[in-house]
Amino acid sequence: MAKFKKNNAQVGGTSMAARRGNLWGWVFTIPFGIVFLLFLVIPLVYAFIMSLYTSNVFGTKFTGLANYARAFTDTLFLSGLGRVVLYTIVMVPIQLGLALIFALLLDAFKNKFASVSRLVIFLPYAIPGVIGALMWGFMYSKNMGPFTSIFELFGLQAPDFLSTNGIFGALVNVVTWQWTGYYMVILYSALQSVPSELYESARIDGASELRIATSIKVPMCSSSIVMVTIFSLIGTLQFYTEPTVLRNQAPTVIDSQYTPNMYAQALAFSYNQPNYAATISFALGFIVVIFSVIFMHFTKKQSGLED
Amino acid sequence: MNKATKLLAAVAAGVMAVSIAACGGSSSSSGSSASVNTDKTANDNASCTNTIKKTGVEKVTVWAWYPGIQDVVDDFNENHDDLQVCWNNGGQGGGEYTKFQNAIKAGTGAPDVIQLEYEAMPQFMTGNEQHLVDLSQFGFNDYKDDYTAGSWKSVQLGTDDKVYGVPVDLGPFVMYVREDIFKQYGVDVPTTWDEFAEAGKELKAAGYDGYLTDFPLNSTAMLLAFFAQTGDDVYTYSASDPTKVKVNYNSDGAQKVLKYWKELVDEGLVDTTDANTTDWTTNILGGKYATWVQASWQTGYLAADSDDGDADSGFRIYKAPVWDSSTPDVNQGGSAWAVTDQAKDTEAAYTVARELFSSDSAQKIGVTTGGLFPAWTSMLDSDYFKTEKIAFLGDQEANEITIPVAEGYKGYSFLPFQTYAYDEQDKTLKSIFQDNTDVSTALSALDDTLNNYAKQQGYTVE
Repeated sequence: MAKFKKNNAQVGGTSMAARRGNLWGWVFTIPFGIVFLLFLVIPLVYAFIMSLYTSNVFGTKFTGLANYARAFTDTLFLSGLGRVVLYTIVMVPIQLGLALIFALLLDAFKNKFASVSRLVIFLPYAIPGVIGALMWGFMYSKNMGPFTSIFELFGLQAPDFLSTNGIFGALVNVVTWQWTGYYMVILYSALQSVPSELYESARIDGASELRIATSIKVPMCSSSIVMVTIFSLIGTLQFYTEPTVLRNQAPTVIDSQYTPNMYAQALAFSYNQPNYAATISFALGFIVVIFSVIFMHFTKKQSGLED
Repeated sequence: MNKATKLLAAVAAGVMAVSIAACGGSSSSSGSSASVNTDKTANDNASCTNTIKKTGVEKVTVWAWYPGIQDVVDDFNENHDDLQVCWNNGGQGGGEYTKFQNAIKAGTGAPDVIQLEYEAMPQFMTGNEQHLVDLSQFGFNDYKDDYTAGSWKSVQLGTDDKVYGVPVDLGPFVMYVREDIFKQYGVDVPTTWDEFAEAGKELKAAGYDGYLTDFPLNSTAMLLAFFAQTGDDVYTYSASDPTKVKVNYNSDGAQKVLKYWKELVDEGLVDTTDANTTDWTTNILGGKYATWVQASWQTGYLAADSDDGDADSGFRIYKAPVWDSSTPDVNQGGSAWAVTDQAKDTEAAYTVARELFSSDSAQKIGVTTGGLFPAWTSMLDSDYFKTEKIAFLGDQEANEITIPVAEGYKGYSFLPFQTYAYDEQDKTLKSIFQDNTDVSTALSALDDTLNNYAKQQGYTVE
């Protein structure tokens, strides 16, 4: 990065041509800019303004940050938050660990079997999240799912996936199944950009394939690993689709306030409290930002973000 | 990456979480009573799902999801020269209510006439938010005898002489019995709750490997019907005093009901699978439940879910078990037409609401195609309805059992925040039946939660 900066400085950057180039750059971003403004920035500002008002039976009035004070003492919000943090702690390492192992294996064995496997592992990501969750919902069913008969073959009783104790693992499984392939593809393509000369010289020095993987490949794609971890972190803290779909199969186990996003949705569309729903969403967004910043701070080196 | 870019990335991360809330709008409070409008041409360009039969006539817009509603609308339009109904499906249940709430906040976009379940009506008549029109001002009280007492009370919303809807259907609470199972094991069909528990034990002793019934922990409205059987009012709410509510889950009746079911579940006689899930449907259609105490509209749903809805399922309808001879007839569900405060021509909207189901032909469509259990006394009195044979119930003339329940039902109140109450109630059932929390402790906690919520929303709590 430092090298790149120096080059840039040498060009000087103040010529007419460069200025015109800048101008055209802005022109080209206008279509995106309009959509970004209309569907992201304006709704966000609007939602934030909404979150500063409180409505009750007597009407709506400005209450400043009172809703936020309520949110951070609201047991429904806090318990949902605790739940997604727990999911994050369990789910993120599993997904990334598997994705990394698959990527390394596929990179090590470059044959036909590997390319077929790559496709198969990626395939769940190509299935829309809702469909995937619906499918797993049926598979988890005691009466209709295959697990009951599979376990019976061995004379065992299938675990009750859709019970209070089983639901955590059931949801971790659905999400891991869905997203591991996607992360694997990102990591795999990062591995492709590692120059093969490095491996050759390592092999000449007598390094085993495992050693090459842990000492060369993993460090070389560490910035991709950091990026994928952030994706996964953000996605899990906003956990919504899978529990919402499985809720149809187990409404008592997954209540309508199971995750903060589900709680926000219930508040906005079932409890008729759009102002407080906006507050919950912003509070969650704030927490996601904090988590991401902390993570990025601790992975400065690996991510290559450090100047 | 520089600092600004990093910040931007972090903000973008948070943004995704927030965008979900952006669809709501800030609430505008309207006056205390809904106004009457008289614009006869405002709907001229409204787009309708149905084909308008007579052009150049005033139109009234309607949202409804009744099965067969299009036939009912066509029937109305053919028989009216001065008014035409413009119907759209605004979504079913909660979906429609969300759209209606959004239209209320936007101040525009609501239909003139809307289908609402009785339990959903109070949320549109609460505090400063009064969005349903009192139909008594158009003389609707003169038609009181056309509807059952319970349905009429349900649309009065706790007032003495105001009426906020035109009743359409009901859900008389009955017991579905697998008569074949009871015969096979030589057990008598119970008529009281004591006999009901006894029947469960006898079925088990005789070798029946299913359950006496299911007590779903997501029972929502079903539990309220059980409570109502004890004669206790869990909720009190009136549209004439719309900033006041009373929640009473500590009542003796509520405790009695839950202790009764808890015992049956603990003895292994009753299942607790969530209702309307895949497993539940498989269980009930597969003979795993010998009985099912529920509103009579369940027939249509079960028939639709089974492989052949016209084949005899083995189920027959019996009177729901009672505590004693004083146990009242109860109801679960049902809906009405309401006229919204956004109706362009309020009186025309009232006419449509009252007359949509007033003809014999429309009522027959509602009962047959729609599968509705009517709140109309003329239909309940007709031989046509009394002798209707239901194939799914082995050609039983089930309405003979159901009609007296509908006629005996006196009506009860719902809360303006009923969805929240249901969600919390389900959680309480989970804590009683899965975590073995003591019934009185759990009910008292639920009572506190709902009362605190009501206070937080600005209601005066009794």
